[in-house]
Amino acid sequence: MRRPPRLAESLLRLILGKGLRGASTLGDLEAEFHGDVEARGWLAARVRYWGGALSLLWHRLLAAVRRRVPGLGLRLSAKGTPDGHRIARGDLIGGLFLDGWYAVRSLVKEPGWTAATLATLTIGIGATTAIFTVVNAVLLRPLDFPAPDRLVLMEFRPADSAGVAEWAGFNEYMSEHMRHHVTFPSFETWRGATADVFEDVGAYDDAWTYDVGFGADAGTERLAGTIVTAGLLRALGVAPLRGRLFGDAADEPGAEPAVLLSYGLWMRRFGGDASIVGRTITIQGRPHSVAGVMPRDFAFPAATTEVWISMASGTRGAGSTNYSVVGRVREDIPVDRARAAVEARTVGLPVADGPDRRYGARLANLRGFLVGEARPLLLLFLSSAGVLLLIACVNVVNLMLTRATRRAHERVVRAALGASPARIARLLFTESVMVSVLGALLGLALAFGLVAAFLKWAPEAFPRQEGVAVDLTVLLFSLGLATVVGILVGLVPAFQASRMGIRVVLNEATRGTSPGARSGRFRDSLVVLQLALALMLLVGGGLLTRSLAAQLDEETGFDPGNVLTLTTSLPRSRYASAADAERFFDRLLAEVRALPGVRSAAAATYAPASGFFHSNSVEVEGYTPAPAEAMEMEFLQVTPQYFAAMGMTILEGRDFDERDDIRGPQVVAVSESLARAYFPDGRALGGRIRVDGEWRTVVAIIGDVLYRGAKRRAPVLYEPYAVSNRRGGRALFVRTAGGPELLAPSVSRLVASMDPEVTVYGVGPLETHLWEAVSGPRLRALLVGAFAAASLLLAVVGVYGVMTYAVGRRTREMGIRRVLGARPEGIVRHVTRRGLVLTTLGIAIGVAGSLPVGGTLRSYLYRLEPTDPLTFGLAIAILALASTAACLIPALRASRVDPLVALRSE
Amino acid sequence: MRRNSLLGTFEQVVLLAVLRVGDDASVPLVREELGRGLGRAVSRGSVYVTLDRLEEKGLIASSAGATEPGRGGHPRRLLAVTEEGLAALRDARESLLGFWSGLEAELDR
Repeated sequence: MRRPPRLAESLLRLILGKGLRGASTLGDLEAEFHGDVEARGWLAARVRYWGGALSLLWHRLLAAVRRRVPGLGLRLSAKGTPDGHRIARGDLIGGLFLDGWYAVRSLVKEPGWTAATLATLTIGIGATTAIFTVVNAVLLRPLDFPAPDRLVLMEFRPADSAGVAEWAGFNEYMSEHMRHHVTFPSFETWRGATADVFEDVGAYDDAWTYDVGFGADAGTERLAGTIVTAGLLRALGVAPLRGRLFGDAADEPGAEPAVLLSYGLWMRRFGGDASIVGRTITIQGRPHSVAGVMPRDFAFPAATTEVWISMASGTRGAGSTNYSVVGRVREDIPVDRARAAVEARTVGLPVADGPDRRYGARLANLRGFLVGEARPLLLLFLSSAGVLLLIACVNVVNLMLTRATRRAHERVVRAALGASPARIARLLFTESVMVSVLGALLGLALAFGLVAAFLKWAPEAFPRQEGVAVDLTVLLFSLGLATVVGILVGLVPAFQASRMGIRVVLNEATRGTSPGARSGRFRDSLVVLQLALALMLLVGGGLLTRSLAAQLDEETGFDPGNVLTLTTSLPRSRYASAADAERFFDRLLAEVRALPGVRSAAAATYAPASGFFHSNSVEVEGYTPAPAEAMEMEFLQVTPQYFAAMGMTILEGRDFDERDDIRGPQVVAVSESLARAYFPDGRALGGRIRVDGEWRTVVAIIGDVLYRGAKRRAPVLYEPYAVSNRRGGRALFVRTAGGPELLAPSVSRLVASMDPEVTVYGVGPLETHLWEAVSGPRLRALLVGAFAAASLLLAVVGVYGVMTYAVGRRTREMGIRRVLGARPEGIVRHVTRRGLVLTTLGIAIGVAGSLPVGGTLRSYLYRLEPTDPLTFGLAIAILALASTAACLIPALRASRVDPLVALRSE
Repeated sequence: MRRNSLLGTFEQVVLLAVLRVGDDASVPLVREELGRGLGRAVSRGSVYVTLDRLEEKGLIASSAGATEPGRGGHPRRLLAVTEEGLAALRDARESLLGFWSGLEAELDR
C-alpha cells in the first residue's frame, strides 16, 4: 500500500502538534490520500496531499501573524505600508521588517530584473536539487539492510591469461552477465570453500517472471519472482513481517516448494489477511506453500520482485548460469581479509562444467552491483547540473553587479542623508538573501516537478528508484546550496561597492559615460566563462543526441514495423512434454495466420532485446578454434515463417518448414556473420555444425540483425523449434497488414479460447518493445540535452543583460557620436564588436574545455567520435548565432537613439 | 454591539455546514458540505483554521471518533455546534435580517 509523502507528513506533525486536532487532521489527510490513489493515481494523490499540507501551513501562518503583529511593535500606516517613523531605535525586529519591506519594494519596482534573477536561480537550484535527490537515493543512501557494509557479492574473476582471453571472446552482454552469475553447482563449491568467512552466504536467480495462481476462481498473474536459497535471506538480515524465512531444508532437492510474498502482493491479493501463512498458491502451476510475508520496504534485488521462491523451483544443472551469490562477512573478520581469503581459496577451484572453468571468485560491493550502470549515468547528470548551476551563479552575479552599479547613486544619497555604512550594507544584504531564498523555494518546487517527471520517464529497470523522493537530506542540500549561492552572489557586488567611493560614483553618475574599466572587465570575463561552459554542455548534449539518433537509424536487418509481439507461458501441469507444447503452438499459429489482416505469424524462444539470451557452445566442421577461443554463440529456436514475420532476409537457402522436425534430417540456419567467421568465404550452405553433440546441416544463411541497444552483430545459430526439446512458453510475432495494436485483442482472445490457463503478457507492437531497449541512451540524451538547452538560455540571457546594460550606460555617448556624424551602421558595429569579441573568446575556451568532456562520454557514444566535427560545428554555430542575436538587439536599439533625447537623458 | 455579531461570514457558513452534516460531522464532510453550498472548493487550511478558531471561541465542541482503517491509526474529529454557537447563529441571523428588511424595493429594482 502506498504511503503519503513522508516529508509532508512530518511537516504536518510539526505544525499540528499532538492533540486530537493534529491527529485527526493527519488521519483526514491520509484517508483522502488513499481515496485519491484509487481515483486519480499515486502521483496526483501525492500532489494533492502536499497541496493540503501547504494550505494548512499557510493558513496557520496567516492566523499566527494576525494574532502576533501587534507584538512586533509594528503598525501599518493607512496605505498598508510599515510606518518607519514608529519604529524605535534599537528595535531589531521592527528594523528587519522594515528592511524586508524596502527590499520587497525595490524588487517589485524592477520586475524585469527580479524575474530574470529569480528564473536563473530557480533553474540552477531546481535542476541541481532534482539530480541530487536521485543521486542521494540511488548512490549515497546505504542499502536498507542491517550492517550493509558487510554484504558482498561474489563474482567471477579469470584466474589466468587464458581465462582473460576467453572472457574477451564473449560478446559484451555475455561477459557482463557472466562476471556476476554462476551455476548452482559452482555456487555450492564456492560456498563450501569459504564457509568460515561468512555468517551466511546464499544465491538468487532473478532472471524470470512466473505465472502465479491464487486459487481456482482468483485467476493467475504474471509476476516478477526471485529464486532464493535459505542462506541469502539470512545474509540480508531482514526478518519477515509474517511467518518465517526458508529453512536450510528448503534448499534440498525434493523439498516442499515454498514462497514468500511481498507486502504489496499480500495487500493487493489477500487484503493483508493475517492467516496467509501456510496457505497454498501455485507458481507455474505447481503448488507452493506460503512461508511468510516480507516487510513493506524490502526490495531485493529490485522493487519489482513480488515473490521469493524456494530452491525447490530453481534449476540446479550446470547449464543455467543465472545465480548471483551474496554473502554477509562475519563480524570478526575485516572485509579486506575476507576478500583475500576468498580469492586465495577459489583460484582454479575445480567447479562444475560450463563457462566457470579456469576462474576464481572475488568479492565486490553489493550496492555497486545493484546500482550497476546507473552510477556513471547519475554522475554524468550531476556534473551537468553542476555546470548549469555554475552558469546560473555567474548570471546572477552579473545581474547583481549591473543592479548595484545602477543604484550606486541611490546609495550615495542614502549615505548623504545620514545612513551608516552598516545600515546600507544590511539593506543590501536583506535584498540578496531575499532573492536567493525565494529562488531556492521556487527551485525546490521545480525540483519536485523534475523528480516526478524523472520517475515517470526513467526506465523501469532503473535501480532503487522506489526510494527517490525529496526528503530532509534534500531539503538541507538545497538550503545549503541557496546559502552558498546567496553569499557568493551577494559578496561580489558588496566588494565592488566598497571599492567605489562616493566621489567616484558621483562623478560617474554625472558624466554618464562608460563605467570603470575594471568592473567592466570583470563582468566581461564572467560572460566569457558562461559562454564557454554553455558550449561544453551543448557539445555533450549534442554528442549524446547524435549517438541516440545513430542508434535509431542503424540498419537493423529486420523490420519491426507492423509486428505484434506477445509472450505466452504454458502451465506445466497440462504441457508436460515438448510435444504438448508443439501441438498447442502449431494450432495457435495456424489459427492466428487465418485471422484477417495477418501476413505471417511465428514463434521464437524469446523476443529480441527482451533481456533474454541463450547461448550454446558449438563445433564447426573444418574450423579449428584458436587455443583459448570460445565457441559460444547465441542459439535461438524459431518456427517456420519467423524470418518472414520479423522481416529478416534469407540470403541463401530456405526457410524452416514442416520437414524440419525430430524425424527429419537435423538442420540449422546461421547468421551471415557466423558464416563469414567460421566457413571459408562464408560458404556455409551444406556445411555442418555440431550442437549438443549432434551434427546438423546448414540449410540457410540469414542476414545479420542488430537489435537496438546492442553494439555488435554477434553470430546467431537458428534451430527449428520442432527439433528442440523446449517445453515452455514462447514469444509470438505476428506481421500484420495494418496497425499491429488493432490485432492484439483478437490474438489474446484466441489464446484464451484455446486454453484459458495459458498466460499472455508483454502484448504490444514490437516497435514499442525495441523503443524500451534504448531507454538508457534516451534518458541520457534527454537529460543532458535539457541541461544544454537551459544553459544556452542562461548564457544568452547573460550576454543580453551585459550588452543591454553597457548600451544603456552609454546612451549619452551614443547621442554625442550621432551628433558628431556617426552613422547608425557604424554604431551597431561599434557596439556589437565588444559582444562578438566576448563570444569568440568564450567559444575558443569552450572548445578547449569540450575535448575532455567528449572523452568522458566516449563509452556512451555509438559509432561517433568524441571529437565529432559536425557536433562541434553545430554547437558552435548555435551558440554564436544566439549570442550574436543577444548583442544585436541592444545595438540596434542604440543606433536608433535620438541624439537630442540622449543628451537630455542625464 | 453585542459579542455575537462578531461572527464573520465564513464562520457563519462553517457553523451552518456543521449543523447541516449533523451527527457524524467530521472535517472532510463539513468541507464537502461547504463546497456544495458555496458552489466552489474551499481550501483545507481555511476550514481547519476556522474550526479551530470557532472551538477556541466555544462555539463548537469536538470529540474523538472511533479509529478506522486507512487513517494511519488516527482518530476522526467529530464536531458539534454548542449552545453558544446556536445562540451566536440566531443573533447573527436576527441582526442581518433586520438589516435586510425594508430594502426589498431597492434591491428588486
